[in-house]
Amino acid sequence: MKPSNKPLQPLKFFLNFIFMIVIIFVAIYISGILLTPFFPESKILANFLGVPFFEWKFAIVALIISSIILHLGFIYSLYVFKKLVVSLFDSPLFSHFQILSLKLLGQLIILLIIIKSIFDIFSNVVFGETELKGIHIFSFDSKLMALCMGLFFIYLSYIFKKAKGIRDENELTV
Amino acid sequence: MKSFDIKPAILLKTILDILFFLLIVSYSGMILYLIYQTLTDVPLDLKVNGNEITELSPAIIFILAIKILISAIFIYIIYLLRKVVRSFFKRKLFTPLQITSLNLIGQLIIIFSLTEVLTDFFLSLSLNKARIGISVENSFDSIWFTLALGLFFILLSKSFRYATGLQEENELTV
Repeated sequence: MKPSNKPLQPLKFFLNFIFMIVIIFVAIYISGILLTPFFPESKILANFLGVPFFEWKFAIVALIISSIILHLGFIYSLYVFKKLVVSLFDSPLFSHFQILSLKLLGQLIILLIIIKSIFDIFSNVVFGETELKGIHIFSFDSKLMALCMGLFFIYLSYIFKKAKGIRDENELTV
Repeated sequence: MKSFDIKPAILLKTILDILFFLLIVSYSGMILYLIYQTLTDVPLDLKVNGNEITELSPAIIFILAIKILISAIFIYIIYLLRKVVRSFFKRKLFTPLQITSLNLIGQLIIIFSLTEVLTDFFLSLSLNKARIGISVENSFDSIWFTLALGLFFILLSKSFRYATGLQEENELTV
């Protein structure tokens, strides 16, 4: 019952490569942010979060913590995504794991998008970034698009669940 | 093709419809604005990815044309996604339409993200603001995630194709 996906092996390696790169960059980012209390005048915060310099203020600390949570959430969803793709390659289709992973991934995407929107609003209100950034509608940057992706993954999980039921039924009939 | 008892994704369909409508409206607005700019002597006031464009050189016109083209590709991706989601409303799974559309969506997402990165780079280059480096954004708009998403859609299409074979085999056996 294993899908024959041998010609697609390069895709698997490419996804692993992407995952490694993202992990390395996020690790550098988080270490950079965690080091800022020791170097308050450094430009790391200004570059990453738009905060001019570090101070022990509630708003700045909350912004840093929520940014780290967002990054870790992103890494975790990428990890779930990678596991799901590997399972689509190597395991039987419509497995329980794939159904759960798709649902989890969809929920994670929606949750992270909501947190990111709150984070953006909070950061704009606190640090007064008045410059209008425009609506990024023509790209995957758009929050509406990310919401669609999250819902699509949840729906896909539902479809996989149905397909699994039908397959099991067919196997019993035979 | 056997029909299944599946619930339609009404929320997903509604959000996709809203997104599609917004995209069509802003695309038409963008085209009309560019036509208006070309036909009148009003000074150019265009901002693309934070870069202000005040005069049109042949290179910038070419890059803007590519940008308009890839925006159209993005609209087409959303259109295809809508079509796939709507096809689930007919309570049929693994149809040739779903397989072909998912494969096409994957390929278009990859083409879209690569072209977007290249045009952004060349736009900065033509405005003498180019920087070379790899950046990893903290969200689902990152180029790496978008590429992985494209690959996932292609893989999903292969899985659907495999499931069709399985389904036909099962139906024959029964």
